[in-house]
Amino acid sequence: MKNPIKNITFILMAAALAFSCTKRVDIPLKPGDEKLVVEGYLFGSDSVSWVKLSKTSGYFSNEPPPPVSRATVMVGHKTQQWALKESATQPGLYFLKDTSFHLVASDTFNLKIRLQHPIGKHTVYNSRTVVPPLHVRIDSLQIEYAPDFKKWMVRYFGQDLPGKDYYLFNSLVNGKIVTDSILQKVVRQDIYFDGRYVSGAVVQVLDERMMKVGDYYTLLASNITAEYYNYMVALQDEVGKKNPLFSGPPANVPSNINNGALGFFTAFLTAAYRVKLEKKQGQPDR
Amino acid sequence: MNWDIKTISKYNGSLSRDNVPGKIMTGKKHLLHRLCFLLLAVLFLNPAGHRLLAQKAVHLTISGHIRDKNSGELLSGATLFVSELKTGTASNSYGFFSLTLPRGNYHLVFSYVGYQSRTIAIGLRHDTLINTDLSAISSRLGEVEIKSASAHENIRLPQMSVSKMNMKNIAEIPSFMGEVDLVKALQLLPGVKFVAEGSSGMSVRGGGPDQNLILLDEATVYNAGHLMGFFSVFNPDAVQSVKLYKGDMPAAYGGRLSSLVQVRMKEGNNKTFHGQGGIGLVSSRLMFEGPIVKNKASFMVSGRRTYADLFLKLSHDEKLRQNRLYFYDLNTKLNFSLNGNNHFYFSGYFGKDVFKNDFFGMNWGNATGTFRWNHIFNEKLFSNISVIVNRFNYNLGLAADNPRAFLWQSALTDFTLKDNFDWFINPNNKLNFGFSVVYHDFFPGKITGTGKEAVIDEYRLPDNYALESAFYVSNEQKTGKLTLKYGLRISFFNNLGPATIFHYDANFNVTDSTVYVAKKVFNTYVGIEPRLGIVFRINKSSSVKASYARNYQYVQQAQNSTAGNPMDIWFPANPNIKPQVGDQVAVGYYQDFKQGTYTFSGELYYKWVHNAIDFKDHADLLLNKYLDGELRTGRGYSYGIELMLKKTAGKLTGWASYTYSRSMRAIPEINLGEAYPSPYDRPNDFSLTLSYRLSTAVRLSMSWVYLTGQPVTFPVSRFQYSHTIVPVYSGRNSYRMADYHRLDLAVIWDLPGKRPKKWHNQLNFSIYNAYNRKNPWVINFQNNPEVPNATYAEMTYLFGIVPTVTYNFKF
Repeated sequence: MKNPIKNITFILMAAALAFSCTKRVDIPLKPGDEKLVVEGYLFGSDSVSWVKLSKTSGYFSNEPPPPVSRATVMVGHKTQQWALKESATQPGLYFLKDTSFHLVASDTFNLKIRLQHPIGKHTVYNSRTVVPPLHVRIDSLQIEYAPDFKKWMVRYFGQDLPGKDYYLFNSLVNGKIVTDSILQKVVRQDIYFDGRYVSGAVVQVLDERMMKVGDYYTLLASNITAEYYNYMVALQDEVGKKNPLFSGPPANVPSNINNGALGFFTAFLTAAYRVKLEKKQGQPDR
Repeated sequence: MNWDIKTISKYNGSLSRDNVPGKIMTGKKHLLHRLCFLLLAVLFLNPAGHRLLAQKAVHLTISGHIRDKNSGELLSGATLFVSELKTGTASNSYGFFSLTLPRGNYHLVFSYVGYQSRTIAIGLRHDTLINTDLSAISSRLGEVEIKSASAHENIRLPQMSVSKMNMKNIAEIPSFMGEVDLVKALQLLPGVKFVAEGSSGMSVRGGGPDQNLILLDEATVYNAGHLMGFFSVFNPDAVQSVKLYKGDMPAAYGGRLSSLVQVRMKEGNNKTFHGQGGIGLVSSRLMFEGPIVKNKASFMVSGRRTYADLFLKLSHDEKLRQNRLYFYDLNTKLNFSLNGNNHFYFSGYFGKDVFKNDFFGMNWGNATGTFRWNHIFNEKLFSNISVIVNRFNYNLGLAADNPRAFLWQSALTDFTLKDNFDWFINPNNKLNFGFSVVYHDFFPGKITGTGKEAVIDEYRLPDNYALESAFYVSNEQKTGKLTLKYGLRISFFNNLGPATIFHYDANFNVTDSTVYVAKKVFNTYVGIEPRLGIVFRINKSSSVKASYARNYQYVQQAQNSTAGNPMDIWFPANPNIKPQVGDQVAVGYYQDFKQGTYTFSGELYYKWVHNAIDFKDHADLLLNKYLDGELRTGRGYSYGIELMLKKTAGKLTGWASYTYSRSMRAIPEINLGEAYPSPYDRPNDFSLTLSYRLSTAVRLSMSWVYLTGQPVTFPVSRFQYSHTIVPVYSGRNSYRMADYHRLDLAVIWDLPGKRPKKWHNQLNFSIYNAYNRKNPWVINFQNNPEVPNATYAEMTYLFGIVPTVTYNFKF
């Protein structure tokens, strides 16, 4: 629900800020407590699931996040347990490459992390998540170029199923993900179109440089939990620019990891829809 | 005629007060009035009332109206001082006064701020009607400014924490972009702060902007800002004066915790036709006023429109030419005096902001209409009945020709009936009583797909209806050097069906809902709101005061940002949301120097707010059916000391004010339950506002403001998620932005003209932010796109030096 409103407030802000200027400033900040950060995804059978462990750092540290290596990372489902293996080339990144692992819709999966050295006085962290059933029904996509904004707009056509649904949309161009940062991802809830046929809702806005005519575009549409939806909305709030007219006070994003760790552990099933970007009559090559 | 006196037989004094000679009331009406008197005396069991009847034989009443000599407009708050008895009274909101005195010879001094005082000698032998008028001081004509005897008004009256400003004085304060703005003038007073740079929202004694009851001729203005709040909705040509009560509001008013702002529109000159207007950088204005029936009925009509978008039409860019961005205000007021005892007023306001282009459009605005009937029952009993309608609404959506067009609408409409009585019982007791009923119709929002391929069909938040009513009585009693003010307001708030109320569990998740049928009262709150005040006059020029006031606030705004925007809806108390309750105690010392040339005031206050509302982290307040679940409640408290030194006469006038204050909130679910500074916590606040009359034609003015930086939440560390750096924050509002200060300057030049008596031309040169201070509006923490893993802090500031020139005229 928030994103269309954000578009509107963006337009209003542009008008209100006609007289504004910006300037970089030095601000001394007090250091915060060190915390464990977990970024964990369980995917369906087409993708490799992974968990990334890192630590918080000073806001102006200007260094990559310190990885947390040599941890024991386990994923559990009912009575089954799978151990994740740390990447040899990317410290702190743990992969689940077990062919026996697959997601089961509506089931709960657990995450257990045991560190070699405590962070924030804790060595053991836990989390759990539910896998939402995949309700995405993509009939077709429409990709149009908006010359005023110099963006590609991806429109979605398909039936929304009755009941509360939360969606996450990502994009691949020629098989490579182009929406890997928070502000490029789109999350939606179906509050305005619950149970209706969705005719052309904008689900992705891509910079014109991201693709060109002739490229293969893939929309990845996933059902996510309400908690992960709220987490993504909070992340986008905190990463985006704030202003006194529309923004609430800054606040820490929620987490579903225990013992004060940050980040999120989530699992979702994904539907993909692939199209070739073709030139419309009269449309320039992009 | 400067004043007229009618003597009235003590036996038929209440019968023949009409100014129409020979008109005698019937015996039946006489009986009705007497019955009314008796009923009220019994109703309120006021011993003073009984004394009045006993003393009738030796005490006589002087009553009447005080008006502006040139325009015939009634002067509210003008004073009548009896030199021999060192006592007096003040005119009520409609210029009516009444004072009962022993038989004798007296000198009556009538005075009003900005007007020449007038002294009338009378031999009081009968009940006497005096209608007098006062001349405004005109610096242009080189008149010597006479210090108003009402300078001592602030010493005598038991009302605390009140400030009154006339538009004439406000117009001399340097203005932003040439737009004279009464709200920005109020922000220069102690205890009043702007909520963000350039904003017309204000925080009074640490309260939120929705805690101010803003009335335009008694009608509530729910959104007093134009253009995202950078200008207020009050057209200076249409406004006569503004009065601010900081918490200690009269018992006749309530419904807000922090302040009452009474904006009074001009009535219209009932003697001669006049006009005035101006052409400025942002807008042009035009106002006409004049008699409909000389001395009996008059009108005022005024308009203002901005024209930035008119310049866009000159652009070569077709897209830019299609943009519309403007606001306008229309004010009108009609008043008609049927006879000396019945006076009718109608005032209306309509204002709108419009922003649209070929893709998107939005508009919002207020509309108010007030009908009032003043009726004088007799020389001591005055009543006013008001019927008021006010509405705030906004609409936004995609252009109608867009196949995916949608329309989003929201509105709040009030219908109000008020009946207010002033009973001037005797020289020592003045009773005010009455009731008010407000019917609130909340239409929080509906979004409708209007295009052929609209994604949205219709989504509507449940409407809300409520009845907010109050009965009140308050007496002002003089006993020697003490004057007491004691009153009680009993307020009622009823939620009415049809309504859907959602139920929430301890984690604020929706568990169930209840649907209520139409017209059913399904929830009631009752507020007992005592208002107490005392003034001890140490001598003629100094006094000590104390006050206590309790206020209930039943409607509030879903505003999570500091400055707010037009889409912030108002919502009522309901079974989930308890009314906010504020208690304020204050003590003050007041001193006049040099016969009132200088006035000093110092006030200490402490305020508690129960059920204080804030919003959860990352609250979703727009078009949210489950808004109640986004609220978190706790307590708030604020305290401070306010000092003000004012110079009211001479070539140099103005004031200096300093406030030290704190404003805190403690909400269990926010900031881990620890108390945190509210967004309006700015401990040190100093302002200096001066006007210097260089010659009869030229005035110089300046204002300098300094405030402690706004409290903000900054990051203390960061983490990475999805290839993006995410801040980890400190406690809420534990940092501060840099201190705010700004100097504004103005030169007001009355141009010489060939026919100066009929046509006055004026140029107003002003400079906003004269030394180009870059005051932070917001500080954002950003990823550096050029350097991986690097972050920086970026300050946004709004206005550098803004010079403007405005041409004003008057005829």
